Amino acid sequence: MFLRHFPKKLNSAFNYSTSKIMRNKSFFTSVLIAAALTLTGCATPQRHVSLSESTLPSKTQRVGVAMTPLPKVDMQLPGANCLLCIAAATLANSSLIDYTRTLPHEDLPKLKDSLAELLRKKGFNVIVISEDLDISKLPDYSGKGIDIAEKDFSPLKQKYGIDKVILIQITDLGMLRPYSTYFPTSEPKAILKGVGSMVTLNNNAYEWYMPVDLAKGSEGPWDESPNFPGLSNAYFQVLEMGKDAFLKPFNN
Amino acid sequence: MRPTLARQMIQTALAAASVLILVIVMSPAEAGSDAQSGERIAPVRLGTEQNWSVRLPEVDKVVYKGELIQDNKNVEANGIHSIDVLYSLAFVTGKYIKEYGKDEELQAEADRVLLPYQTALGDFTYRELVQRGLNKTSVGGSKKWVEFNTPSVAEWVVEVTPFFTLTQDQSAIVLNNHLSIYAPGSPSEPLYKNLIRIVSDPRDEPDPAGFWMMGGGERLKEESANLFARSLEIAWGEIDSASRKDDPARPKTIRYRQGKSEKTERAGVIDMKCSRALVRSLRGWLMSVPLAEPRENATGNECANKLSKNLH
Repeated sequence: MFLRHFPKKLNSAFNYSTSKIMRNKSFFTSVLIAAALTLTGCATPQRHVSLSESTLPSKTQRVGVAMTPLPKVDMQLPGANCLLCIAAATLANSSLIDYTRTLPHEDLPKLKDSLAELLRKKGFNVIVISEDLDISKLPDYSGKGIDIAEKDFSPLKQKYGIDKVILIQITDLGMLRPYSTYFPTSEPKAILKGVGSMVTLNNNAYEWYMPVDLAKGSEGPWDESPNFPGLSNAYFQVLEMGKDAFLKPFNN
Repeated sequence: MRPTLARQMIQTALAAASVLILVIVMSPAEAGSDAQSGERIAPVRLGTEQNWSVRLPEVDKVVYKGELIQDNKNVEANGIHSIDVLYSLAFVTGKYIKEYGKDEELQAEADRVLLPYQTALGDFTYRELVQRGLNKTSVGGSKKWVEFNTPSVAEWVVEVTPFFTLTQDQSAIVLNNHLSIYAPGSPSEPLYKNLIRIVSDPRDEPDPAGFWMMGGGERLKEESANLFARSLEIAWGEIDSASRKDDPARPKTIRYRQGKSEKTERAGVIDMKCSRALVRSLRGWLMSVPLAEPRENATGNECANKLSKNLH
């Protein structure tokens, strides 16, 4: 139907391209299937692995507790995809974005100390790895399998003299407001996302893997510039909830 | 014109219009909703010779609600990844239509916890609540309640709008009292205005409804009156020691109990004793809450006082 509006020259060019594409249909189908398989293969997420009595370290094993570098406290506007959408969403939330960037990590860096203390009280042999562990700098692990970490944690065994490492990885911190192009689909919320894991350094296997994804909205109105007390309160609440979430499996 | 081109032009025009509207409509409001809450005032001490009144709320029956429990899971974290403006507009409109009235539905569901208390709450009026509360306060000289429509009187007047929330585990009551204090001769401009929230100590009772309803709901009414009396005393205390606000405590995160669950609040600590804390929230509201990790730093006599023990 659209073709009748086209100039003749363009119409013939379109017909030529279409017939060529149709002839190579099987080729394109194969490419699409291969691409889909490759992409979905890469995107397989690590499943949740619960902590159990059998996977807890024995009293003779040394356990290292580490954290990855904390992310900058910032605001996310997922769903605002196009350049104009991003500009509009950023402009509409500029005051909150600026304010969010001033929020502190509070005592989140001490979370590994709290976890180590908890484990020591239970009689485990624990050391705290004081420096931030940048796992992106670790080599990829050659072996593949269920619950096998993609990164090779074995160098930590020598470096810190440990048998297992408990890793707290906080990936997202701050505020989030979901969008659909130009339109917000929800009020902003304070968020904390991350993963808690324990890897046995002999075989690079996860013995605990727990994603944490928390969000807390403002009690009452949120748009209270310049200090956003409702959302600030929600931010500090979500920090506490996050700390509790990482400690809880070891508290039972 | 090519239909695709026309469609793109419509989308661009819509996008530009949307950006303009969004920038105007969604810029965060500059005026805080409770700008006057807990504002700075000159200290005033109410002597025993000074009388005061409590102006009753406009409605007759005491308002009780069931506690709403928030879900903290991040269900909408990814946004809606669409590049089509019309689709997005339809989606957002549909979502808001779907969610319209949802808060009322959730509150109605939460209010079901009050069903065992209807006989006691049905005849519990603000007159009774305020009278019980006034009997429990020791601030100033004589005090009484006046009707909502009573003309201004030449004495201190406290306007109150209290409502109560029962936790879903029925172990605690929360009072939210919006109050304004008017000095004699200044009936139009409040000297002090704030929201005071008081969370009662949790009660560990196997049959909470039976406990609160004992004596025809007497315990529920008495606890409510305790909370109300305490909110008045805190407000008067704020006026008395207004200079404290010149040096506000640095906010920190407080963990407290609301019923059997643990809550947190970012707040400046004003006072801490008898396992309770009086704090100023980031909005300037005052909160009296039972601490999650009790501190024993008060003398036995101090905490044995019934009002202090229950409410600090």
